[in-house]
Amino acid sequence: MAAAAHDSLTRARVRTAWLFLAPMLLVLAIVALWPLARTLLLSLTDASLGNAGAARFVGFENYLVKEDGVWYGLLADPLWWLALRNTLTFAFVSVAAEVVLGTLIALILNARFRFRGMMRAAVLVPWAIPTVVSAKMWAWMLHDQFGIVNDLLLRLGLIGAPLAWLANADLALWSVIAVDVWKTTPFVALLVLAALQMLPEDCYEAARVDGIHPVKVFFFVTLPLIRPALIVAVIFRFLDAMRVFDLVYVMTGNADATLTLSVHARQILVDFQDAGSGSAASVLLFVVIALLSVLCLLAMRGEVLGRRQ
Amino acid sequence: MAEVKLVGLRKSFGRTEVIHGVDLRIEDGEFVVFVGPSGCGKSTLLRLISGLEEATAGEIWIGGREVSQVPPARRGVSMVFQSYALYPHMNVYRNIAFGLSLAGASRADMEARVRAVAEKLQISELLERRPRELSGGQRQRVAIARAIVREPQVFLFDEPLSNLDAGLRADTRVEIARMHDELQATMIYVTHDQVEAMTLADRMVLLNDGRVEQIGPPAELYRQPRNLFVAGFLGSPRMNLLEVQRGEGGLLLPGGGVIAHRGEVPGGRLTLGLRSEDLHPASGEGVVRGEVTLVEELGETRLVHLRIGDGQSVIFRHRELPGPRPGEQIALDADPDRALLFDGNGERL
Ligand SMILES: Nc1ncnc2c1ncn2[C@@H]1O[C@H](COP(=O)(O)OP(=O)(O)OP(=O)(O)O)[C@@H](O)[C@H]1O
Ligand SMILES: [Mg+2]
Repeated sequence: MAAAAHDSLTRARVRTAWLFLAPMLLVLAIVALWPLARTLLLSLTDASLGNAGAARFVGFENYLVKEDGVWYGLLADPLWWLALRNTLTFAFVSVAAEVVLGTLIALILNARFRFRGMMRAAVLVPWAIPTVVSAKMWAWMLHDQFGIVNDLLLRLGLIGAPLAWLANADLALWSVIAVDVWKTTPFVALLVLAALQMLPEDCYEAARVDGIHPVKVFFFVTLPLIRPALIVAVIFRFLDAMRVFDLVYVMTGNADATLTLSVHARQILVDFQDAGSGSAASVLLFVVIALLSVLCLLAMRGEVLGRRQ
Repeated sequence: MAEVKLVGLRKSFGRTEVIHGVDLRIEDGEFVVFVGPSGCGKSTLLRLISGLEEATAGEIWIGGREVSQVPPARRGVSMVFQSYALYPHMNVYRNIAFGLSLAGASRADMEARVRAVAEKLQISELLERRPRELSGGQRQRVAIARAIVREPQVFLFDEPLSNLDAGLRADTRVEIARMHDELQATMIYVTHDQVEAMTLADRMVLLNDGRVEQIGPPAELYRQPRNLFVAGFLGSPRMNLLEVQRGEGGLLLPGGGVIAHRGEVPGGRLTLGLRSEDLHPASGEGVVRGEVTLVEELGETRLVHLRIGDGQSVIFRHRELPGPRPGEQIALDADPDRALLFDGNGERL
């Protein structure tokens, strides 16, 4: 009797849970699942942007196919591999720099000093500016003839001649990375700052009384304690960086030196009007990110999702 | 060797001064307890001695050295925090050893010291555990072990037992007393638990609002409080404080009783202090008479609340059985030698 009542109560709660979830599942299905499925289907056709209706099913030809002893398709395209390499470089370097700098800034903001509130607000400015705006702003500042960056460096005598920050193939990717670091470090700093403010203050006092060097305290107390927050920041930022589009597209367009997977997919889809191949590029990007996400989650399992011992 | 001396010590946070000039001399090896109501500055005073807070004015001497400009680590003090302040991600061994590594001790030496201290505090089996896998009492021991292992000249305790349950608190209290005998180190201990203060202290320092009210052995503070504040603060239940008048043959109590008093009695307002255990049922008239309003049974004894004249009430400790019942009329005698008299300014006469 009591067990039955308990059962029906559980059932009612499960039903309520689904009821609450339903709107979100519906929205997700419309804005994520449906486009994804359509992209997947399109990637298996030779559709072009103009006549998606007249598309023919071509199997995996957009990805990889062998004709007359020659490989065709995205996976055989050196440009796709270049885009993959650029994207990975961009993601690794920018995230590494953002985490190190973000932690440093968070440590500074966590200290007690005058104008701390103002500083905290100021640090957020780069993060608050829309990406396209800051990308354009930096593109001008990095302009080889009229840019303020070259002007400053020349006056300081650090360079002998103006550098083509965005046109030079050796510099372009690094310039874009630098701007991304400028823009996204505040986000990491804020995450880390939140973690720092949760730290037990008394432990630091104990360390002070025990005379432990601040650097040692940082590496042996602070760092282990903010590790979960750092890992969240890294995963967030890394998966985000893998999709980078607007910053690169506004600053350097379709240039090979900075071509990322997203920019590449757009180029095929819009510039070449090749909906089939462009969709395939999008699907590949999705697969790459999904793989990396799974890897991240496996590596971090238990760290972030609660340690169970 | 490690005496502690405070001279004219003051501390302000911003504009508000919270320590208003404290002078105090603590002998080497002495166990001194700071007590006082919440917010009176006990913790602040302890933190000034440790160096966690910087004094606004005055001097701090530890072991014959003026240390007010010396960083905490070089003052030769160890501190045990109320929250224990253990490093949550380190196991017990590392928690104890972490503060040692700077002392330039070799690894083997360090390990020997940690193990010896762990042995002493009976936490040897816990060395591999993290703090969150320990009970409150065990954490407490780890915190004390961490303080001991550095072999400081002075131990500072800030309400170390307040997070423990009553039984554990009593046990740990005894252990701290034993530890003090063994180490012969100077110890300064903050608490607002009177039992803790009375049992542990060689001398008690009673603070009130950033000032020292009285310094002395516990029995002295209890029996000869300098003023009404000290008299009212120490003892549970609180000392009975009755307004009295000068009369023939002694002091006139509310309700008509008279208690003998030797010596000069000034005019003005007078307050008589009687502790609950110094009152006992009278065979005759008694000095205090009234109606029982409440009986608090404590098992061995019971606290009897009495309403006497003028709406004032008195609590006394009743020992024999059976106890009185509410509504009964009772007369009490008081020992005139134990009675304390305070003048209009609250100073004891
Ligand atoms: N960092 C601070 N900034 C400003 N005021 C403070 C600070 N620390 C303490 N105070 C003030 O100083 C006074 C004494 O505080 P303290 O912590 O020393 O009291 P306490 O005697 O330890 O009290 P408790 O028994 O509640 O622990 C209090 O009025 C408190 O508000
Ligand atoms: Mg305190």
